[in-house]
Amino acid sequence: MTSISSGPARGVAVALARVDGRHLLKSPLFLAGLGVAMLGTAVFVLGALTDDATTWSNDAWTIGAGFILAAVFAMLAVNRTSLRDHREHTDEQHGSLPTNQTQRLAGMFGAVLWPATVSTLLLGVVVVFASTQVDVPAITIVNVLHNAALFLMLGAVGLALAAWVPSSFAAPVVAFALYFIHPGETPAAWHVIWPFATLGTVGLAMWHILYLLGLALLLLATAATRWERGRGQAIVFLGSAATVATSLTVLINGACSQAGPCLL
Amino acid sequence: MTTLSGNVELVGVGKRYGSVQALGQINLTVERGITGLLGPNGAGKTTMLRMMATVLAPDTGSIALLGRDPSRAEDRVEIRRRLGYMPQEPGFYRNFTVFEFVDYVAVLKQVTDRKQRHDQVREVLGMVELTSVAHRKIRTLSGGLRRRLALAQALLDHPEMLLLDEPTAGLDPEQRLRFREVVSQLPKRPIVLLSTHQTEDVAALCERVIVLVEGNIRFDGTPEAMSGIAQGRVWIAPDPGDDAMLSWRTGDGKYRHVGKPPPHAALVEPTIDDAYLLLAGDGVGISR
Repeated sequence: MTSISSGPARGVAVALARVDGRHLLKSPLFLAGLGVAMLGTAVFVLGALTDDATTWSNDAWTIGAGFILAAVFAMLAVNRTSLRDHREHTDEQHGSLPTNQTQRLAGMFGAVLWPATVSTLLLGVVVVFASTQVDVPAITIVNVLHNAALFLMLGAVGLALAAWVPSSFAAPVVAFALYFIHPGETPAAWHVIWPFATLGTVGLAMWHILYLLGLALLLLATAATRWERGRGQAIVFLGSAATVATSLTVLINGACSQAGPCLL
Repeated sequence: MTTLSGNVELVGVGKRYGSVQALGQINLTVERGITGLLGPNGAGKTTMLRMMATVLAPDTGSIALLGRDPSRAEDRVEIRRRLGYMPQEPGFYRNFTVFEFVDYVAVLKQVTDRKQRHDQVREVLGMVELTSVAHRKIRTLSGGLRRRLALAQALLDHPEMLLLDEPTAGLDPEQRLRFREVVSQLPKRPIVLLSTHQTEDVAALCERVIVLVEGNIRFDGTPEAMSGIAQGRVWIAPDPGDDAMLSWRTGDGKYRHVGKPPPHAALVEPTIDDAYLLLAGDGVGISR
């Protein structure tokens, strides 16, 4: 149902984003993810403080891996939160209320901004601190923004799974697959489709952020079709699909010209 | 809040689950005030309330709620803004506190202004006397407190139509009396439909009572008129009787009979319970 005016709908989505955002921040899964990120950071900082040979390019992977895991844990938290009605049998009760599922989906996606912002700020602080100890390349700033996009994209994965596969087991399986199925060490242009890929130039890294944001919207539109299939969903779906296709084209062409065999 | 005029109107409403006819062709108008809905298990009470709560569509017939058509999306949203619904088996986010949960429902009810919303949450928690546990996690609450919480969320934003499905099930006598007080003192005299097995609640609260049996309305009138159905058919006798529809031994050692009298029986004033037994007799399998 899309019948109510956009004013209340937007207000409800914002209010839901606030309420659920705070709950996500307190979620044990999100906090566990942050803990892992801090562990990865601690390993790097300890090395930087005690070993002069520590460099950003060789040793900061522990920070990257920690924050990627934090994003994966946030995805699990979003999925678990989205499955509340299913788990607690409140579907009917809440079905009698004026806010429809699409508005709730929008609110929940807005709520993902909270953990995304907190983790990105934290990563920013880590990078600033690290720059006082070792040389940090300029592209790292884009990588910090990439972290926010990754949170949003994985949050959308959690929402889409909750919509289409309302089971507590689906998200952990997908999280495992996302994190542990790695494209391998041999450079190939198609590796850019991997959401955790880090790109060598600022330009390509920005396109990868756009790719992740496009994926996030595509997943959201897909989730929304679970409940309604209107013009709004179609527009978002087509717009985000076009964004993903364009950014992927640029990324693969760019990666082809830079390294390794293309599309192999 | 703009006021919607209009009652609840069901015209030829029917619902079938597979081979089971849950509701027959129901024709009913419900006006402002408290209406009790009585009937044995499986009589169609919950089905009827779910339709009025806009979570279930009828197979046949039409429904108008507060002057609007719930089959139209725009109308449905407008109805839901003015509806309070306490389902038979309410669910809760058990890791939320009482306040957080009602606040969340208020957001879903589109009360987006934070201060106004929190004021409303405090108001309804006060009405059902949950203020002292407002910051306790729901998972720590007893069944009775959860039932009051379910009522609190239904009372949010002063609904014009309040649907309560067995709200007093599991409540102790004091809590039931408190429930009666809350419902009888609702401001703006909303349409209240109270589905229950507690005939005492109906007698104490309702201006009108509807008895549903096997998906059809078997009685529709005042509680007094309902009791009147049993006038002349309730007896007290020293011995048990075989011909009565139902007879049981009371605390003073005498037998109360509903239906045909045994020898040496004396007529007594009937209660709404007696009338219910007569009306629903076939449905509860006690007819003679």
